Amino acid sequence: MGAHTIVIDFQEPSIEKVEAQIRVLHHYIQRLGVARNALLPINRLPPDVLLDIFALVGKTWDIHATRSMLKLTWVSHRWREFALSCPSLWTVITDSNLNRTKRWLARSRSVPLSVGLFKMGRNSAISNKLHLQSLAAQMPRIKTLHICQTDREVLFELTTSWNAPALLLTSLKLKGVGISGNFLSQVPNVRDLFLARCKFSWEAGAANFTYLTSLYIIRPQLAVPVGQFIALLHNTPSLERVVLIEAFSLDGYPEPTVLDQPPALKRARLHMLKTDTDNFGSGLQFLKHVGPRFTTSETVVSCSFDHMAFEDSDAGTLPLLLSTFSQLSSTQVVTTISLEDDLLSINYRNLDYDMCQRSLHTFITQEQFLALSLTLKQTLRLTHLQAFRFDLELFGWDVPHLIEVFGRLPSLEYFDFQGGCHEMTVLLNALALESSPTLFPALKIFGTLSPKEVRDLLPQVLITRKRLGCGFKTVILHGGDEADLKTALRMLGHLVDHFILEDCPETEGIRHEKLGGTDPVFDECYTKPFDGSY
Amino acid sequence: MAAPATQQIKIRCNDEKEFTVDRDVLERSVLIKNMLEDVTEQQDAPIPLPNVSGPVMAKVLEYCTHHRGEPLPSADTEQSQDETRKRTTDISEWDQKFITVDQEMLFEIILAANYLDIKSLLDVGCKTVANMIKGKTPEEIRKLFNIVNDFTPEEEAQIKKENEWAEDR
Repeated sequence: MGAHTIVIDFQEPSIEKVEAQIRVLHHYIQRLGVARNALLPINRLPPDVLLDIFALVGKTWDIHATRSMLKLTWVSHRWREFALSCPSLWTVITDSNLNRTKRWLARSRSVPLSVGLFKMGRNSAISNKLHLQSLAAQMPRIKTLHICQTDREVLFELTTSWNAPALLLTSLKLKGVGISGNFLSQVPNVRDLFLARCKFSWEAGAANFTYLTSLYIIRPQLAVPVGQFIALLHNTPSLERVVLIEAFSLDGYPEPTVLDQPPALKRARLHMLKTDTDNFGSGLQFLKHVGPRFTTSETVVSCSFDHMAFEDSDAGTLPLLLSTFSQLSSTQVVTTISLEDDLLSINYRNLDYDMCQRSLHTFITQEQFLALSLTLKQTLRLTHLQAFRFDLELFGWDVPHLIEVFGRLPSLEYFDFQGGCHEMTVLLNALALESSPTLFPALKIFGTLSPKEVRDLLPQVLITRKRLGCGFKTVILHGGDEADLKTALRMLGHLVDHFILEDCPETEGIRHEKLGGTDPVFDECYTKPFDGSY
Repeated sequence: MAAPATQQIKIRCNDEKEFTVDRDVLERSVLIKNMLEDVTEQQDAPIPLPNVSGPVMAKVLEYCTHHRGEPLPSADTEQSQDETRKRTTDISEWDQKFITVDQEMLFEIILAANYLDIKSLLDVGCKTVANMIKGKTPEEIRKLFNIVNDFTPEEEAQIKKENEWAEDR
């Protein structure tokens, strides 16, 4: 920038002259601003580094992506020009505004796109439909397409506008609501999307779904009949990841003719099957009949069941489910199975069996538990179980039943039990009669007892100890007075490794130590290795 | 044949400041690693690094020493992360503490990491700047980096119109 002289004419001043000079000054100030900004440390970064920073700011997979990019173009000349010159910064379209989408399409030039139509609400289907129309010509460069609210019309638009090969498409995620169960007959073109078009692609050797590697099908309203789904897998050899979330309804199953002729799913992979209560049985049926057809060791990687309300009517389902998993695991393909939300979770990787106590307490019956234990031992063929943990009020459980359960369980590394006096009584009675004392190489029992209850339980404790050759890892003593506490400690001292004292009186000679754990209950308790002085 | 882990290498910065560093620490820098591999005979002369000053190099070496022995990121890993859109702006606790420096030093570290080709350090620097920008209004970003608004009133009006939807959010 050269030297400039501003001459202000005071001889014959006029508003026009001054305004003209103001404009000139503004121009110079703006140019000086550009020059000044260029010298700032952040603007000394090389273009590829600045691009990386901008990409990190803008690349969120939600509506904020659009907002962030717009803000970056409003900071300075340099940033705006730079951002607009980088097509890769404009490839994420998550906005519901058609004008902005058009701007994004222009700015991204021919770079592959990721499109997410996330608008929810009453008019979202119309908005999504219009968006799909505006994107129709861009299909060849769409890499990811996620539609949040896929109704019949949107699906129709998708299938009809898809008249150019989507060669780059690797992820298609359709989340639908409000599609009736027989929507397939209402929208014949959906068959093109899920079946015929794939078949065509396969036969033609190129185009459309040939390169699809990831498919998400969400919501039962988008229920895909099992036969169609299998055909989709069959005709899309590149498919590596399928996420089915609440995707199978009872209407869609079974289709015996398809199941009788299993396709060779050599390269397909069922990544995750997730069902909810409504179609739990259907998902299970699917797994049972279709699961084993995933023949290679790369097939079922993970199965996840969200099951909020496991009811008594499902009494036979849990063992059936585990039995099905055992068929899958026979080829060592199931690495993780989890039943989330309160029921139970199983991690096969470590053979770690963890039962969430509240759900068992709430939902599982004695009969269910017996069936489950049978499945665990006989069907799953587990020879080593790291942990079995439950906390249930053994109300209604009698001793013979409990013994039967113990007899069916595989060997345990430790047995983790929590209960109060009543539960301990039942448990101890059961343990006392247990015919396989080596069943529990390490017994870890948490009992919450008052010192008086300890006295009452002592006979069973002694019998148990004699039979099993081990004592209790931890006993929680709750309440009582100082005399009670001392009596309890004296009686149990040689049987118990640790005491946790809850609301017990401060007693001379008992050293209380604050626990350093994170459990809010235990944090307030004190423990002490018993030294046998009482 | 790989050089012994204890081999010491001398480097000289643009302010004549010299450092003697274990070879495996220095080899976090792909630039230096390649230079060392190209040199067949042992040389006592320090490696000149004309684009890095002593104080910045001290910080870079602090980073390299902490992360010595960790596998270097490969091109495949980066591509795969980008493909799956899993790249986040999360920074580990130690790195966060390390990169808590004034802005001038932050950009110097980024420039040095870029020059020396230390991808993980460059990544930490870029993520830090991105996190500084995120969630801020254009005016706040200007204030943060001492940028002046160099748009003409006409440009400002046009951009404002373009950004109407993004304002106040």
